[in-house]
Amino acid sequence: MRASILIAALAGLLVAGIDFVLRAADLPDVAVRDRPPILVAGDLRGGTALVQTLPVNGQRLRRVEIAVRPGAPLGTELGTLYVEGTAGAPARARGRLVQGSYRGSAHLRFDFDSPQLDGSGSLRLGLSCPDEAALVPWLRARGVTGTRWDFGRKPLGPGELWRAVRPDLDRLSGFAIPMANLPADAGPVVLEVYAIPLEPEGRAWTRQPILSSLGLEGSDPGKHLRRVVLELPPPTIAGHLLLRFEPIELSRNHLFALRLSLPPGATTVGDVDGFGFVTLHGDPSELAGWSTTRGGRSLGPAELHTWVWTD
Amino acid sequence: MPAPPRPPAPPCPRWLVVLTLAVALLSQWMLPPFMGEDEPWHLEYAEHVAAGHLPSTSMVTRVADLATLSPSQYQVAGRFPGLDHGEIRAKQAEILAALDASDVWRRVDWAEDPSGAVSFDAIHPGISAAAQPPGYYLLAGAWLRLCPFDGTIARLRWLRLLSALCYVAVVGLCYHCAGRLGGPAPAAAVGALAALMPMHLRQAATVNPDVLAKLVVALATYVALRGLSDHRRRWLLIAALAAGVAPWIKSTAVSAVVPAAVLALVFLRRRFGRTWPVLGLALLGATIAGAVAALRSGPVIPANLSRALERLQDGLAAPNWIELFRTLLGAFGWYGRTVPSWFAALAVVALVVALIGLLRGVRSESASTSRPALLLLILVLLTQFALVALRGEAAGRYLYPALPAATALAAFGWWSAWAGRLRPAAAPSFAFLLTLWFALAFFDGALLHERMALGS
Repeated sequence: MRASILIAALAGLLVAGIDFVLRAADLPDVAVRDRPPILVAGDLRGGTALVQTLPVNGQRLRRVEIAVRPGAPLGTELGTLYVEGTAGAPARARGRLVQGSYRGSAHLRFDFDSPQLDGSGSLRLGLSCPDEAALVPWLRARGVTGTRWDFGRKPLGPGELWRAVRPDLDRLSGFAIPMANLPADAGPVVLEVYAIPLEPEGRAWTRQPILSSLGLEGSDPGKHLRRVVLELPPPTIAGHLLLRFEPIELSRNHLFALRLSLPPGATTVGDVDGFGFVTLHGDPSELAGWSTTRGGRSLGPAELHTWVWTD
Repeated sequence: MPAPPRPPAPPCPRWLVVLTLAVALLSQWMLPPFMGEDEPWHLEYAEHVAAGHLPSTSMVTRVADLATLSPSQYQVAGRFPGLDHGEIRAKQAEILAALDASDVWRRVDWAEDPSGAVSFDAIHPGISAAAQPPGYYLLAGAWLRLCPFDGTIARLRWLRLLSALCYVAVVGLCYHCAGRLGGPAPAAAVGALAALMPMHLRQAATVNPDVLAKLVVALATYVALRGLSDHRRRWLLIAALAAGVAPWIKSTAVSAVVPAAVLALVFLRRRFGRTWPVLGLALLGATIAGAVAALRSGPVIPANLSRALERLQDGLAAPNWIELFRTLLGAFGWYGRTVPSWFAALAVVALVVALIGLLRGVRSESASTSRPALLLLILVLLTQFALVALRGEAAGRYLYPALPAATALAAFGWWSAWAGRLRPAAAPSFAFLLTLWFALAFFDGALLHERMALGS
């Protein structure tokens, strides 16, 4: 009896060992995870694209997987992924809905013919997927993110927008702003950041309601600090725009004014809590990925969302 | 006619003692700092106690404090009314720095990068351990005062040793409870199950009041089984003490009241003959009133009936029970990753087999001598399930106070399922599943998802 128990126990160890070896041998190079569900992205427009930037170390691109909430049976061909960051023209691949590698959810899997990477150390992914039911809106990042700031309950229209923000962290280094209707030929998005002088008593925040409700048009917003010009990358027609700049070291509890110039036709898009943007902090290179998908619901907080395998 | 006293179980076999101590040590290495569930918050609470601040028995919050404190710091101030706000902020900053140094955010999917954070609210807004009753933290604080180290991570590891002691004690109690139960399953198998159960083993290295909650209920269960057998008053006294202490540790430990109450009823019946039902009802009423009074002082208890019904509705919903199963089976990275789905399916099959076996075993003639103990264990387990439902949210660790009952009943059911000529297969199949469970959790859970920090 003892021998049979021992053999059975060893068999259990062996099966688990095999499972581990198989999983460990196929670990991705890059995995972008989600944030707490306070930043679930909202219902983007049908046919819109997902945009994401990821750092990579490999020489050739082999595979990308993106977690989705499936609206179609496994095996269905779905969506097209464009990849900038490969040598020559952007690589592209059609996706196929497969069972998730690590959890029960489905993945969109894109296999590439191992195109050479361009050596820039990053990939920009653009996913277009015409199937409304296939994807879930989700905002995800690796990096230091600060408070979410509301635009209000209505989307912002095109043109010149002013908003005030008082970050809760130091080293302010950018903003993530959810946008829609941004065709590549529409012209750049321009963000300018101004420091609003503190009141003598240091009660800077008391000005915020005034700035928010009345806007800053025509007034002196203070010292000009940063300017970011973002040419829109194809095939972006929606997603979170990352507007990064050199960190402003002391930003916690300081008041800043933003001037955002949008191309014609552009609008902000909302999330489950309305329309807003998020402050980014720290070294811009620390941001590993940022993106949105669509559909209105979140995946579980544990789910990994994007994986990249390179050789 | 009362059941004859059962001879005490033999001492734990040496291999079980060695195995338990070895895996308890292994768990100390296996679990990177702060990867135990909610450890930053529990360490914070214990550190304030260790610094000589006595927690209030109830929360004393002042809205004005919100002007200078973040929501999590505000709750700490409510638990420690005399504590300087600067000290609260400094302690959180110190632990956040240790979190950063431990690369927690790379290991936990949903955790924020704590660099630059100034309060725990950056990890998860509004969460604090300060809402927990002070029982565990008084012990943990006293233990921390003995700590010879200064570094935050070293102190966390020191505090984890207390959890390891609780773990070893609970494994021993599981073994002895199974020994009192008798039946077809060997007590050593129950001990091995308690020792190798991945999420229980994980608690050997997790700073969390759950470790003390399960010890207190396990103790109450064990002495109740002893009392049912030999009717000595000392067991009733210990069970009553455990039941009295339990609500001050965690609401999940309130199930300690059940073995104490059952034992008290048996004693009343023996002592007072025909009048025992009246006295029993009085005891039951006093128990319920005492439990409600103790629970009401705890902040995790619903404030009113509508909130309680709301929680019950959440607690009884299917996703809650799925979550309970998921986190009981194996969930890592602050519950972010689980064991492979094929093993979860296998575990469901094994559970169904054990349940069928249990039903068959309880009704069998051979179980007649074990029946009072069996019924007591079933009652403790059902109470624990009820507490999970009342809580409105599930986690596998909330069931661990009933671990002696759960492990003994699972093994009893498993062995009962393999009847007749199939009986020789019970032990090897049990050993296969248990080692597979342990090893999958160790490799896929702890190594792949926590130590190796998959894909970070």
